Amino acid sequence: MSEATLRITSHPTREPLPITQTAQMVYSIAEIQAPIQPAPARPMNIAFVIDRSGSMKGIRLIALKEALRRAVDMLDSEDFCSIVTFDDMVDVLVPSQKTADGAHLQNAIGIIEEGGGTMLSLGVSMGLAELEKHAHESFAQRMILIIDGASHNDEQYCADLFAKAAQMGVIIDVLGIGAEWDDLLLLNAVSSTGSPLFSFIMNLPEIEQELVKRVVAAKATAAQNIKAQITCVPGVELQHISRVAPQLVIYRQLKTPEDDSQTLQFGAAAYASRIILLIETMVEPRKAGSFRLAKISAEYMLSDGTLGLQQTDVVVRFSAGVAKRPHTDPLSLYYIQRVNAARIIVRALQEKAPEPVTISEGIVKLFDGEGRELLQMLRSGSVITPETRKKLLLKTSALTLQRPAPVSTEREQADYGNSM
Amino acid sequence: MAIQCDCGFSNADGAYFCESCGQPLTEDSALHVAVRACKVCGAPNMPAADRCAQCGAVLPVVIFREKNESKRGAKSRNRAAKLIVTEDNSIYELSAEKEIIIGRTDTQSQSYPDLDLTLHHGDDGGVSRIHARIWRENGAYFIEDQRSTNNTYVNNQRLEPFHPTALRNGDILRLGKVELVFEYVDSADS
Ligand SMILES: [Zn+2]
Ligand SMILES: [Zn+2]
Repeated sequence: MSEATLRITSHPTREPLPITQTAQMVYSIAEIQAPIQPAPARPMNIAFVIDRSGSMKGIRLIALKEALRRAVDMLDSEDFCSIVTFDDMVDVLVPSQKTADGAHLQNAIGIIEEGGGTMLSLGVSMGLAELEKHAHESFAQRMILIIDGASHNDEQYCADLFAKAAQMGVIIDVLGIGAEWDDLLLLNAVSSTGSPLFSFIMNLPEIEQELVKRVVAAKATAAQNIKAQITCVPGVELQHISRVAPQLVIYRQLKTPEDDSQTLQFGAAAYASRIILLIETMVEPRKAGSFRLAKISAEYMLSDGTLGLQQTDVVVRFSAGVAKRPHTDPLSLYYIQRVNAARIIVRALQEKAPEPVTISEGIVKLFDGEGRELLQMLRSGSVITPETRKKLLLKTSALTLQRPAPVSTEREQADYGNSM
Repeated sequence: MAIQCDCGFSNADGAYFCESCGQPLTEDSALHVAVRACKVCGAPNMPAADRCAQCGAVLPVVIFREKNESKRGAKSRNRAAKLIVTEDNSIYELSAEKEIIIGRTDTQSQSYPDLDLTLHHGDDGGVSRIHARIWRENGAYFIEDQRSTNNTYVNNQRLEPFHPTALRNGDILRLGKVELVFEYVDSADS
């Protein structure tokens, strides 16, 4: 049992902290380590929710069907699978059932036809209903949502459904085809359910690749429905929580700055992987000594169906003897910098009217050539096209992964830690 | 005590980067952040890590060069070295020109060593205010205990006070209870 559980640990990014006269920002890292040993897995439960709106007509639909066939093939006979298609109406093409009858699924995929407009909430609510049917017999709950158009007048209903999915522990993976779909709405779907960012598909052959990638990820799930509650003690104000690994997730602004407790859905963890969180808090002045700043409790389900609960305290030491600013470990600083950059960029992208945004050189330098050009558009207040916005969101969510440096000398000539 | 950014935004004490524009606000955050990328999964790792924390892949040895110098030139003239604090993998680059004092900050006695081990539990680890010094001479680095209370050890050998000892790549130094590793920055061939 011990090796098949999650481990959660946390530490401040620097220690000791100076004693200040006014409140100070304190950054902490929490790590959730998934088990290495695969527990005997129960079947997973997957719903494919497909936009069949008129714009899918032709090669988009052909490529999609091909990809779906491949994805369905990868499922085990014990896995539950359903297929829901929607335009401004919704059909349950295949009700949730064991995948044993592969031919039936393949035939059903064959009869998908394009229809009218896009009404996203119809597809999502029906997909959730199908997943709910076998929620008790199965383990990983996934909705793979494939969409190519923007939904109209149901944004609020969609947001409610995403919240419901997060509550149920359903991860929503989004594959967007073309540039017309509503990335900001779906950013909410992926971040609130703990999915990595959406796939943005401009080249049709990529549909299959992306779909396969998502199914493979679902199969490698060691723990799912990982919910962490972060509760601050009095005098500590929770500012932001971000997931920085395995991939940066930009959570929506916390409800109010006064909320001292937040529960977030961090989705699933693959075997042996770790989820790393950056917790940013504002701390009222303290005396010298060690203090608990917050309590983190993580709830989750393991692949054998058992539930787990782990807790840890975020403890930090304050000391009067800190003459110089204490040293921050480089990895924490790396995360702090990128989360700060992501927050600034996402905020700018969410602005309705284009307006020049001040973005420091330091942020620009984190991006590759194309990213820098796109940021330049934000800085100058140019109109941001849906395609530009999607690209920037993707590049931003990849900030905590290191790109293979195009200028290799940049890293080789780096100032290495503390210079003296 | 807010930190005012050039952009006009007022940031809370302790913030590293401006919340409005991202500009570094402290000396710390202005540093180029050096972490080691995993070639397999892309995850960043601590500079001293030898395995990826995210996927377990072995991290390759990274060759660091001095700015504006060819690799060869860097090796022969100015071989850089560093100390890694075992406990938290903090890295301190050693200067080739200037000797450094390792110890513990004490404002009362006005002791401000170059490398302050207070940050690495030097207090309870029995580090003296002026514990040891390290310098470079004829291409090699030397360490010398400064008659510290709890002694300096190299690979578990206690050093006599004020007796310089040459350091080799990978030597484990212990000052009181605080352990550090001495490494050349381009350690590929040493
Ligand atoms: Zn600023
Ligand atoms: Zn890796």
